[in-house]
Amino acid sequence: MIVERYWPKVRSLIRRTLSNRETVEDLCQETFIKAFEKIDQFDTTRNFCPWLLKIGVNLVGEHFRRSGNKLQLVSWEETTDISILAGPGERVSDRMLIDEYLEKLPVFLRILFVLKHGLMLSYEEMAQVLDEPVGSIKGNLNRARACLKSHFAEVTTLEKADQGMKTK
Amino acid sequence: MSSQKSNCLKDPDFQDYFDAKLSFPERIRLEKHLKECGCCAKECKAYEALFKVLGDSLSPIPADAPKPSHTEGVMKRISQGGPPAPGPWSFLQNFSFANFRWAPVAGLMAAAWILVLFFWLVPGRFLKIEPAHPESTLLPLSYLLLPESSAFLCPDRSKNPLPASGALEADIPYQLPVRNQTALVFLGENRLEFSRQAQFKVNAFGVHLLSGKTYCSIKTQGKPFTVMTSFGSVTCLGTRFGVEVTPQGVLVTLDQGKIELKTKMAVETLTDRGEMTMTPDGKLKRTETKPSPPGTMTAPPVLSGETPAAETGSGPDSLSNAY
Repeated sequence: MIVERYWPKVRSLIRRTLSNRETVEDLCQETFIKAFEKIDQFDTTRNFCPWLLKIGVNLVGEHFRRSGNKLQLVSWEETTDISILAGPGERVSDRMLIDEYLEKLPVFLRILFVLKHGLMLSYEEMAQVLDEPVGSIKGNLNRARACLKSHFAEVTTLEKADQGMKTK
Repeated sequence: MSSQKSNCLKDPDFQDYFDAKLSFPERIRLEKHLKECGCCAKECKAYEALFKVLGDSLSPIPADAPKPSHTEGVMKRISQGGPPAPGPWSFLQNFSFANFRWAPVAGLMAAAWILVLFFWLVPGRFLKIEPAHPESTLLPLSYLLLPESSAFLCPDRSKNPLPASGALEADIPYQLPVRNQTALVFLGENRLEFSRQAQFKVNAFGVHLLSGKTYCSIKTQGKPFTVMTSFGSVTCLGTRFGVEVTPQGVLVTLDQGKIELKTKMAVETLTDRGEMTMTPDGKLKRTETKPSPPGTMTAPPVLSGETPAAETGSGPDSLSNAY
């Protein structure tokens, strides 16, 4: 029951951080197995989902360390310029725009978006998952969202074009 | 894209609004500003559209659902690995009170003795509750309790601050000290929150707000509770509402329930969420409020420290100053 209930959330988080599908499935399985092994350490006064997601994020971090990288909070100012998107006259869907933007972000910032908007965690729960202060998480997410919003507003997506045609 | 006006809202304001992180007065102020400023309203719509797309794009998709092979794989790995290693407190799983039939009785007796000793050895531990004034609605009216981390109340700048709990004297002006961010004041199950540097008096009928802001969450117990100001009074009939005193007028915001506003020239009852202003010439002006977006908080807010004249637009916008 726990696997059926939480697998979609764990998988939707991990697949945004890794491209290899098999690795995603393996890490999802590993997350639940580790949760079972550590179940006596779970504080029953808190929510289960953030605790489970924290195990998943730690496993993703271990995976990156094994491949020579490190999963850590990168402040927005250190992020390279995110220039995206549609070329002149090219129209894209909203979701493609979001996907392209997230692909260019560091993994840690990508995780922030998924936790906040995909899995609807509060800032406090996100801090619990990522072991970072609420202020750092909020500040970086806010800046990343402001940047995305400015790009989003400038680009004419298919959805906006369709709306424009309907109103004419 | 940032607003070009210097006193308009900034990106964190919109994000806090959609994250439901704004306090009730801040949310009301933002919504009021959006009605007046087309630039900010456009920014707000852009954020609304963006957040909707983010939610749709990043939520789990049908392909994320577990297949039977996933569940079987997990259960197989768990069964192969055996039961989880016992933790340091695993002995509690086998603990049963049935083995200690005398333990509950002994525990109750010990607790009773501890309580007796506690209240005998520490006199005055019970916070004194003043008898209710015969005209009072709040029981007890003058009894106020502040959280431990909150401020002291200063009846007079020349005197020492009062302790954080106890009864207040009627008709003496109290002011919250400058250094504190917020203050919470409880009267039984009722609750008043005052902004920084608010000045007020208490009396048999309620509170006389001299300056600053108060937000009230009142449960009626007989006669109504009244917040008096120099331009008029607000009588609460079981509700949550805010009152802010400024030189230009008194702004009253109804969050829930019903209130009656009385000035020297008009009387009006507010039953729907909205705002009214009591002007110095005794008139009542009404402002329509839109329903709040889904997901915004409805619990009583905590007022952040602000100067009393912030609402009417004559002073700096406190929302932008907050960042």
